[in-house]
Amino acid sequence: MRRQVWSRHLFFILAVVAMGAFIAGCSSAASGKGEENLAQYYASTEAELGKDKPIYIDKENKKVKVYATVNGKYLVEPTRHGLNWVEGAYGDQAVLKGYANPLAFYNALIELGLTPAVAKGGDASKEFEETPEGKVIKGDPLQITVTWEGAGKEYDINEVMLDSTGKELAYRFGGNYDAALKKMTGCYMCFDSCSVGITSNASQPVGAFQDGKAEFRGNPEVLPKDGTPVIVTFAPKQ
Amino acid sequence: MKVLGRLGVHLLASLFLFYAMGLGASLLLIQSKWLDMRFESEYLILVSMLTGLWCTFAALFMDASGFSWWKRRGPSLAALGASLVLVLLTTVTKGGWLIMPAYATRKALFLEETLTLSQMNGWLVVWFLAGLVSLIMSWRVPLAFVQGAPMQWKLLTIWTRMGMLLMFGLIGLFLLVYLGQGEFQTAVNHAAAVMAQADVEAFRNYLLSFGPLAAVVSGLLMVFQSVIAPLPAFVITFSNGLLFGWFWGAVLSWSSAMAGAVLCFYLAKFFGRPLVEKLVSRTALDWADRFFAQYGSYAIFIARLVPVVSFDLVSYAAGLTNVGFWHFFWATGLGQLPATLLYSYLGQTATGTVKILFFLFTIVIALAVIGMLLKPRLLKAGEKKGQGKAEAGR
Repeated sequence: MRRQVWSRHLFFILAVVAMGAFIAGCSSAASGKGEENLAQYYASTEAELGKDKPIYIDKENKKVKVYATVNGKYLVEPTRHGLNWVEGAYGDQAVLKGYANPLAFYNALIELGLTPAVAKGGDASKEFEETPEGKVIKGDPLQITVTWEGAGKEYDINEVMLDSTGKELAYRFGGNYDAALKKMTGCYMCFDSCSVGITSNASQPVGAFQDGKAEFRGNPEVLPKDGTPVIVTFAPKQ
Repeated sequence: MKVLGRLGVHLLASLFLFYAMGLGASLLLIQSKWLDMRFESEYLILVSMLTGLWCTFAALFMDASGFSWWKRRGPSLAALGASLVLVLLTTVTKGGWLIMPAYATRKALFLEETLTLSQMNGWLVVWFLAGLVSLIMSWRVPLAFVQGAPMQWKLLTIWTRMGMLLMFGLIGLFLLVYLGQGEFQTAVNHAAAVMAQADVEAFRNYLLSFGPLAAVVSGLLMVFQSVIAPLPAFVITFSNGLLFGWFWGAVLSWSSAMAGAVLCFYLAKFFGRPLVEKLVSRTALDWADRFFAQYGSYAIFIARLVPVVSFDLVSYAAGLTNVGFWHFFWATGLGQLPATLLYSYLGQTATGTVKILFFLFTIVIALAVIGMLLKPRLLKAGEKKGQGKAEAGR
């Protein structure tokens, strides 16, 4: 009799756990991730920067600061994404995890007066320059630095990210507002020239990672450990 | 207590072994850059552990001892060894052995906001030790737990067994792709959101956005909504009528609804029947079985006709009874036909006002059918009451 009572309860627990695991996976419902309410991501002061307000536009010094956290996996494994929004389709596949819709990031760069390769509503066919190595992204060049608590300085992007071919990363403001809205991959910074990421690396042509020509990862010698908050600063290159 | 201990040992052993295999496989798949950029292989760990849970379930409650292969020393050691080798090969060479196993496990178990990698590593050490001990103990501790399992795996026909395995395989695959593929997940969530609005126009536009694949998507969504009971099927049936005409719309709605109903039936049969047999009294269960055998077709007819009644719940309920598959199949096929044709036709022709009137109409029909079925009983009850009063009066 007692055995039956136990089996009844345990059975129920097992069934509930199994269903719960299934439902938990499905419950991360995506509400329409479009261009509504992009202003919610902007911090009003630099001190306010955090997960809830991850973008700060410093108009006076002409900089955009983005709060992000380190993704430990890509200090070891290669990836083609530098910084992605966690809620985007490729949210977990970048060296740095961002917490704002990339369209808000696009708008922030526009507010600094920067010119993208393809603006909102613009002609995407004109965003690449043909070179012998392939298509490379156009748009205003950017200076990108990264820092974190205890870093002691602002690290240049080339100190914290590694390109297997040894080329220096040279980011440009690709723009790609419409493509980013349509695909919602969440991409802010791509390691090769890209038609979706808001900014991408002009030193590497389109498909460099995919074609196996180059590999990129975070620099484990410099970047702090998984989960550490960092501030990424974007400014027009002088 | 002893019984609980034995269950715990086997459950832990199974989960540990499947975890190890999932970890090895996911770390191996991560080595493919092409795959890693499109699919988050870490979720293989979760799906693998759920498979282990399923195997434990089948072994315990359906006497399916073939699934409890962690009990066998040779195969389990081989699997564990192979997984360990894979983990070491993929991590030590890259200097990621303190990062990757913890990262993958943490992600698969949805603990990214809760644990740091160092904390996860701590838990992994504990888990490894506990799992290994459980595995070794499981080789000695007998599994037979539930005496006279109600639904014996061996007594099922080969077709039912294959069907069940295929169904659960597909569910596992769907879960894996949903969790691991960002774009697929977004598309499914969007589909669910559109359906939940119960807005036929919006849903029709959503289907149209798929162009030539609209029929395929409609069929898949009908099956999907069968499992997720709160989502309304009538939206899909109306839209199919709108898009494909009443005849082809009906064909599509009928066949995809059948597929969905069969899925619910087997889900309930596998998970629910053993549970229900334990929880519900014999009398109640017999009553439910008899009720469905007699009134099943009517129940389906009503459930399918009236939009507010959940058709899926009836399919689940049927799976919980001991009604045979073919009886259920034909009852569902015929029972849902009138409603499917009507909704398809209305989808093609009717305006908004007519649709509202139609909903009210269906409720009236449903009540009439119920009344017709209950009439003999009510009359009988009335007679007995009358007799009782007469006797009391004497």
